[in-house]
Amino acid sequence: MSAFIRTITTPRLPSLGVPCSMPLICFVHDRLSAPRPLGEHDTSTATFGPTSGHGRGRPVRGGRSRLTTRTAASVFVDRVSKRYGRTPALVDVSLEVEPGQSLALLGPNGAGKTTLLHILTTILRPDSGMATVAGFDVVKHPREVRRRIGMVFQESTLDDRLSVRENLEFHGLIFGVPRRQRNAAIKELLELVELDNWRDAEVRSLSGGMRRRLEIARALVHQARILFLDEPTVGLDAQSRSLIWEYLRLLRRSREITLVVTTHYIGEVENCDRVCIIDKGRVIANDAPDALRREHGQELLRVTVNSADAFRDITRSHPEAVSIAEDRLAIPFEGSEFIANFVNRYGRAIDAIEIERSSLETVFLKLTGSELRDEKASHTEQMRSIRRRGGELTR
Amino acid sequence: MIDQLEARTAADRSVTTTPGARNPTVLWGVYAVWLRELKRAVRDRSQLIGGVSRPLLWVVILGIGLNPYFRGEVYGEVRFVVPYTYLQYIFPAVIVLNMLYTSVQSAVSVVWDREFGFLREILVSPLPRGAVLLGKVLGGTTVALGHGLIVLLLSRFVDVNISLARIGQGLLFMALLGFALTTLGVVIANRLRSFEGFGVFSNLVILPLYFLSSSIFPMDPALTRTQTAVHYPDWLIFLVHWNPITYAVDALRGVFIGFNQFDPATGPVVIGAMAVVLFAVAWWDFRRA
Amino acid sequence: MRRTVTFIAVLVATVLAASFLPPDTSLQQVKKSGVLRVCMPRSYPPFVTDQGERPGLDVEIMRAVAQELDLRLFIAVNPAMGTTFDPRRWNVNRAQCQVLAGGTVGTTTTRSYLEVSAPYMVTGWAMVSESDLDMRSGTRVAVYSTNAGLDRLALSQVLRDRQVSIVVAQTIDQAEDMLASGAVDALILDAVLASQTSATHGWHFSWVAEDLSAFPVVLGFWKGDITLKRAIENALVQLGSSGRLDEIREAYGLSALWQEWRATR
Repeated sequence: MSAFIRTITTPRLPSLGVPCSMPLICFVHDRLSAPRPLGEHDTSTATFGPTSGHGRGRPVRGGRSRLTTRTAASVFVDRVSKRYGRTPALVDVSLEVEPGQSLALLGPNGAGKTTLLHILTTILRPDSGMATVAGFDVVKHPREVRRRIGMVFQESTLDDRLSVRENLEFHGLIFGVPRRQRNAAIKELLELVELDNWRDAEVRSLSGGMRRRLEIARALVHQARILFLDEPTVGLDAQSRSLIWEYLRLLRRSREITLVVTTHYIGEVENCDRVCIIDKGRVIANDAPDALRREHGQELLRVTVNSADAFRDITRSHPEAVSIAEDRLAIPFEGSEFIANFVNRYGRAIDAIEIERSSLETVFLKLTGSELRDEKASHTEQMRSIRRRGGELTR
Repeated sequence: MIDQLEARTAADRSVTTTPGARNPTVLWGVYAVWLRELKRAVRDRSQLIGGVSRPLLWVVILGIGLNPYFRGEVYGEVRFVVPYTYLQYIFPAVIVLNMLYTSVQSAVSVVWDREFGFLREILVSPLPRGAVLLGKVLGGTTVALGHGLIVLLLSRFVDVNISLARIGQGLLFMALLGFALTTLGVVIANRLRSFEGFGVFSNLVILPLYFLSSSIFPMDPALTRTQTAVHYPDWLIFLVHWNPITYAVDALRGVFIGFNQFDPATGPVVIGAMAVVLFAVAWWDFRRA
Repeated sequence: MRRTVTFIAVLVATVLAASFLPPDTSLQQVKKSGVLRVCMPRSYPPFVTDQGERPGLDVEIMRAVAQELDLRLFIAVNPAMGTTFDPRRWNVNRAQCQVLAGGTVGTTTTRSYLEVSAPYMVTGWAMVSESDLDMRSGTRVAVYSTNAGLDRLALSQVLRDRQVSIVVAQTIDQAEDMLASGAVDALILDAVLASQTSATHGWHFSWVAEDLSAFPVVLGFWKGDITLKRAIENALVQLGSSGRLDEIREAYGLSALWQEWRATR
């Protein structure tokens, strides 16, 4: 029986000179033969899944396939744009991630990070531009892309009613991981994220942090080489957040994996090799954190004033000051005498004063002109609370 | 604990190279989706309780209640007589009722997946959309079969003789019906944007389909010459005749108690056609997504 | 996992338990009154006879059943049952009796109005002759029929089709004489009578035609009296295994008929 199944699902190609048991299938299969990645063929990628893959065929406007020597674990985005109705979500975004690198996409909510991630994971299609992931065009060969990537979404996509292990097994099955590798991967990954003891627990009973860990583990069951994470630490307490990054670090040490993470926590991007700052759909900067600090970093004086006059005074004499709130200002400066002079001049009007050395926060402020506030992702919270409250609606 | 893991990961740097598997992965994907539907149905307590309470109420309580009104008391003076008891008459209809409700449940699960993200997990997999649909529908069919079987447990109560041949035939048809109903649920769910729609779905679609399927009363109350003048209003007869579920109930009645109001072949044909058409619609929906 | 299985098992057990609930009170009412009322024709030998010694197959069986169930037996004689074989003319109703006996045949028509028990005897049109005989054109046949029981019209149709010459016998003795003297080639009569006759005289017994023969004789109950039917069927099973039924059948010379038919089923 299994031989029969093998026959009907893996036709032999006439081009290889091997007889084909189902001529029509072989003919079609031959015509839409499995695509090759652009450039070198990297045999070190463990890939599972159906061997036939043919693209959806809709050509991307303005894109041209670039033949470059890209190995199979990399992300390449070339002038991608996307708009929702009349609102532009992404405008001419280009970036590159080398294999094994980790990239943080930093930006406020609505900057377009999630949209970009959805395009890279073949959930959305770009309006123009081209993107390749693992060497495959996301529009032309989405299925090949999916086989090689893992995605951790912003909202939890676990099945509450199944156990931890069942969730992982489901993933393995739909990604076509053969049983032995599946069991081995599940065992290894559960140990990695320290959820081994919760193997048979219902996901319903897990905390937010544990769910995130499970989702990270799940995304790797099929040995993906590229992992996309959309705001993986949102909604978690500080300790869980650092734990998540710890696991990600461990992951990168134990296997060659490319990470693309979106976040709006500035502190977290220190963990990554490169930071790409996105605001209002455009890439503002894309460099290693240190380089960014060196180039755009500035020292800031954060001042809380107690009178509107003082506020006006300061803004007039320091036009480069940025107002954070109606009584707070952030003033870039250079040199240590500045602080002393400032305090002398406005001393009485100052309620609080804070010196911020060059940091990514200052980089962000300089580049975008606004602060990245620590907002709660209300959408996620709302959904979670519905789920916790509800259970399915009765009829 | 993390230190131990670090030590282990340092040692474990091998990148396993495995050639692309030659096993039928699409089938395993369908299996996975099917299995998940099954597991969820089995762990859904409210649905299970409903699946048991419904036959108990409709067959045991209502059946006993209306039984005396449906039998000829005078041998020769036939009144509202049908050649079986009311219990036997309503028994196959309640099987269909249970299955109608499971179709609502599959619809709920589709919307649930979509709203709460699990659908994303499936969409990011290399599994073809058609396979996802097939798995879901097969899962729903199996669950519907299970719920139909619960009703069959009452066969002794209604004095319906369940022989192996009958059960086989009945199960075959129930599987077809389950397939059609699940697909109906999926098609409707794909068009529902929110959960509010479900009250509408259940009350406006499921229950009318059930009541208008000649499930509770036979279409022809005039079974004797003396009553030829009595028949139901035309609009009712029209609705019942155009309701595909009528033929489903009729087919099951034919199998289990040997009573058909219509040609016995109509049931399988109508439900089969419904299944094919609806599946095509659902397939098209899924591929578009 | 264990909790799920337990939960489902409990639910299934509940439904199964419910399936054992009594769906009606027919048995309960009979037990309460202490009397089992049975409708029978006045005379339909051998099922119901006028003789005190051997009152009839059905009478004796019903007596045994009533005894088994610890009830008194009351036989409601329904004259109509003896005058026509069309049950719609009998005018029997629930008030008169709970069981219909006296040679009730289990056809689809009967089944559409009554619940029927498992058969305890078989009847139909049967032929008695000296030796195995094929009815052809010109065969002379004597027909003896009672008004109760089998369909004479159907029989006459078949016989006319076969172009057989028919003589009507008024009594069973007359019929036997005709055959013994050779005035006719065969007798056609009720299988139960035919069985008795052929046993007595050593003649050959055969069924007449497919659709006229081998009807199971059953007890009839009103539709929906499931509990009563089950109780009486159980009683019949008990009587069967204890041999009492066979005894009764033997007493009327019907064992052979029954055994033969049972063997062919």
